[in-house]
Amino acid sequence: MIKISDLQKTYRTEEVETIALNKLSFEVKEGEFVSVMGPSGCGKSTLLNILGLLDDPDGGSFLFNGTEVAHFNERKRADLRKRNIGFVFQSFNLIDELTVFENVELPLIYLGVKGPERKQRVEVVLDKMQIMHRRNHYPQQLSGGQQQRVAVARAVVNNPKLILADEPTGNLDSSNGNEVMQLLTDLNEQGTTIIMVTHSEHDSRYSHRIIRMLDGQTVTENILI
Amino acid sequence: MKASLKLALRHFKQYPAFSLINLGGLAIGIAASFILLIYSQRELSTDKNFKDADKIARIGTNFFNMGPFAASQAMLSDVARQSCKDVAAATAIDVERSIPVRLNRQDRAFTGIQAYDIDSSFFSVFSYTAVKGSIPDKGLQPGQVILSEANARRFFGSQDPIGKTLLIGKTMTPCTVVAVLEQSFEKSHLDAQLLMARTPNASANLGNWQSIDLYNYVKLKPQGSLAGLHSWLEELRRRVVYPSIQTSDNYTTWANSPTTVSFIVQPLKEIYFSNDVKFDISPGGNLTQVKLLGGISLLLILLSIVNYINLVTARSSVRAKEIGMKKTFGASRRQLIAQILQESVIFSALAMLLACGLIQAILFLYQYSTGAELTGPIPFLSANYIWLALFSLLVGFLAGAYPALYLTGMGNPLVIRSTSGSGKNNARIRNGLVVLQFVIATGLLFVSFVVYSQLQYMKNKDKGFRSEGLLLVENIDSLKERVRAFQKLVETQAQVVATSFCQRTPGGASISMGTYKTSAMPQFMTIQEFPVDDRYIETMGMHLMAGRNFQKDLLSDTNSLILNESAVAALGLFDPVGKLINGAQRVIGVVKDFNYSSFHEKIGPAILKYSTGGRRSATLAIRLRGGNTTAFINWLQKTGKEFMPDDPLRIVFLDDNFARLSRKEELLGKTITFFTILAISLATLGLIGLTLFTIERRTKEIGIRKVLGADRLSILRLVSKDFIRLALIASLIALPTSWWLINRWLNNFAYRIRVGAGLFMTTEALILALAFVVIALLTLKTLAADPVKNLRSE
Repeated sequence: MIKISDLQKTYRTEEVETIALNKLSFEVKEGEFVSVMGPSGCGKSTLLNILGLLDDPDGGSFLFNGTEVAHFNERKRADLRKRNIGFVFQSFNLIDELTVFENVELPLIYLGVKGPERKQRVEVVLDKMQIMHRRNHYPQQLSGGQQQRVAVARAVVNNPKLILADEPTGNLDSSNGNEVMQLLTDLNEQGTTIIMVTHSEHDSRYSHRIIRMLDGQTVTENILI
Repeated sequence: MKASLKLALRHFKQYPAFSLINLGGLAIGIAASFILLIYSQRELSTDKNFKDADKIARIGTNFFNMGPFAASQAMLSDVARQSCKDVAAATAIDVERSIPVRLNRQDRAFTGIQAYDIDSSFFSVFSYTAVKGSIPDKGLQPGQVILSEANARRFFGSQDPIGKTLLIGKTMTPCTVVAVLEQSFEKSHLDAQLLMARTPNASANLGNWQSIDLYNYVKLKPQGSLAGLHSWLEELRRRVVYPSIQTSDNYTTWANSPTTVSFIVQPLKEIYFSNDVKFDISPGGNLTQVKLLGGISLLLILLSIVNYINLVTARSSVRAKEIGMKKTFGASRRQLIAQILQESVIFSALAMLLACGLIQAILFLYQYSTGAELTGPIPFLSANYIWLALFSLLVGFLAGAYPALYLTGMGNPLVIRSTSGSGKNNARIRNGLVVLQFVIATGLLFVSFVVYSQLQYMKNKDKGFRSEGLLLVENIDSLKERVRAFQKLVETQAQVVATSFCQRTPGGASISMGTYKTSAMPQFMTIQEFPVDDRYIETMGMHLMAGRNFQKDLLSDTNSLILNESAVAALGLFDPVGKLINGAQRVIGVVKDFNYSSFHEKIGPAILKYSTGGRRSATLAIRLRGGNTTAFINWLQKTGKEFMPDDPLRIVFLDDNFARLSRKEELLGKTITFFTILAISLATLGLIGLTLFTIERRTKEIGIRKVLGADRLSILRLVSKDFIRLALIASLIALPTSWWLINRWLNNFAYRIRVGAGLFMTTEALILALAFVVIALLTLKTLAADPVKNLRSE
């Protein structure tokens, strides 16, 4: 599903040049659950941003379902993203001014799904995430675990082929963390490919494979199953 | 759209202070600039609503170099109608400035009503329409009257006025109301409050081309032209006017001499703003004011748009997450731009609703503080409000455009490292906008200071006589043979210092000119005359520089003259006392130059001529000591009534007459001040918003600094430093620019102030003080909070 080769990304400020990705290459097959691990600053988040088409690489190749997307323009990237990719973030990134229902509904609006169908699909996913009773609440009225469940609901509502999760349990206690990891595992079992950036060895055990990074490069790959 | 509305309302609830500042600023900006746009549009379209306005013109005249006058000869319209091939219709209007109107003989009269005495062609030239009754096809007949809507309401309230009788004038002539004119929002230089029929050929001056009586208007034929009218008038001058004047000069000499009679043609649409004709039918407009207020209206709306942009982009960190998430989930830039534009349009629509109320409030406040109406009534549910809606949408669009491009153009905050540098750009643009706000506020403040100083200067300038404490009784000749007895009685009053009979006072409306030459001069020159008595110099407080005053018992003084300094210079006299002018008139004294007209004009030559009084249009000038003026005026009125029960004395202060000459400037000054205060309030609102934001953004930093021992002053310096720097940069732009602009206005005055360093410094000090006070108050409030709480806030 994803094949990256010699991917490069460098950040420049007036004084400093930081190499975030240094000729990084790997592949992720459809239906895989892959964890990306490594110390802070090793390029994990940059990788996830490029994989999520939120950022573009400076060099190398990025094949998504066989199509080279490394140099897609903003409009093409947005289109590919909204049809294929869901995101889950450490800090949930829910929009404070929107209710739970409206937050989850957002990707469907941008997909152009009509109102009644939108309502039905949001309700199904909220029900699945056991958060239906909070549908009219605002994010700040929810616990961390509940907020992350909303974030997961939002990530899956458009049935993406790929979910990118950036430390999804980083802001949660262990029981809420386990619950979220179980949700992701369930989604993976239903066929969704998941790439998760994490610091947690515990969480990484939910995945099939661990890619360890250092200084913008892969150092090892562990296959867990 | 629904989602945008919902989001906008939730933003409002979440950040009420910001939102209110933003909404209030936008509403004030929309309301004030809308009012000024209506004002400018209305002023500039004066008289354009008349049918065939392009074909209507007024013929004025000039003679003895005294004019040009707006009015012209009594017979001119008839002659034009009969013999000018370009003219389709011609009408003449006689104006009665103040005519008493009664419903019954016993009633008190309605006063202050201006009547136009018109002829049967009036409605052929001017396309008035009747809202009640009908305009008679053959024109008004004697005994008929047409009213304006306002006067119909004033006289008859809600009753139908048609067919009712009014008693008009001192003679209480009964007149039947035949029509009420439709009130137009559009402006006209004509103010048709009450129309009556003028008796044809009633003028005493019929046939006299050196007398002005009526306001003559012509309507040209469709194929007629102003050039045709001009050449007809030139022909009239040669064939009719010249022969009627007994002169030994040939036509060419006469046509170029000061004693000639000439005509001026004013196209209807240009009458209102042409201020160079004398005795106009109405005061006329002030194009400088229209231009200035049009400019201020643009500045006001610019200020509020800048406010909006600053406050929205300043909050970009708050919005960034939302925008970023929407981008992540597939929103295209176009969708996000549309959303932000929708928000700002919704916002400006809300501001527009608020502005509807503010418009009335601003108009009321304006009238309250200046005593003048700015736009006249803006009828509710009129087309103007459609313009307001469109205007608000445009403002919303303009205000939203930059934030939309900026917020959606930022890198995704989830990939924040890739956006390094854009924050700096944003700050640079915001700083630029803050400078722009300060430029506008500083510039307007400076301009209003200069205008105020010029007005004060005009009030306090040495006029060459003492204008304060001088009362004028303008209709004293109505007392006829009892005038002297009345004067004697007035002089017995303890408060009275001196009294004088004269036919002309400085700042008065009457004009008198004479032609003079010394033996050394090749030809006559026209000089302003003041026919006065022997008490005039003392009563007016003029300064006799040489020679002596007139003496009542010296018969030879009827042929004596007192010159002002400019007349001495103009006549080329050295040691003038004792010299002869016009062969037989002897100069007996010289007075210091005195202002007799507006400050726009340089003091010209003037000659005091001895007049024994008692003639028509005499004025009694009364010089008072300080003290209870009101009691004296009451006594004067009461005594006047004993002498003349039917005609109350018309008493004015000479200072008021002078003030009338500078009324346009006075109003301009007040108007600029009014809108400057509004503009500064807007700029202050923007500053409050930005300061609040700066403090919010730096709450943690301020907390840390406090924990580390920073005192209040150093933190205040930290927050205010940037704003003060921007205000100083703004002054470098605003002060020279506005100085250059206001100098052009000042150049219109013959007597003007010099703009010194003091005005620059006062403006700068006030702007800096205002900025500092706003910042200090808001910062000190934050500093009062517990630093630990501040640290936790992040």
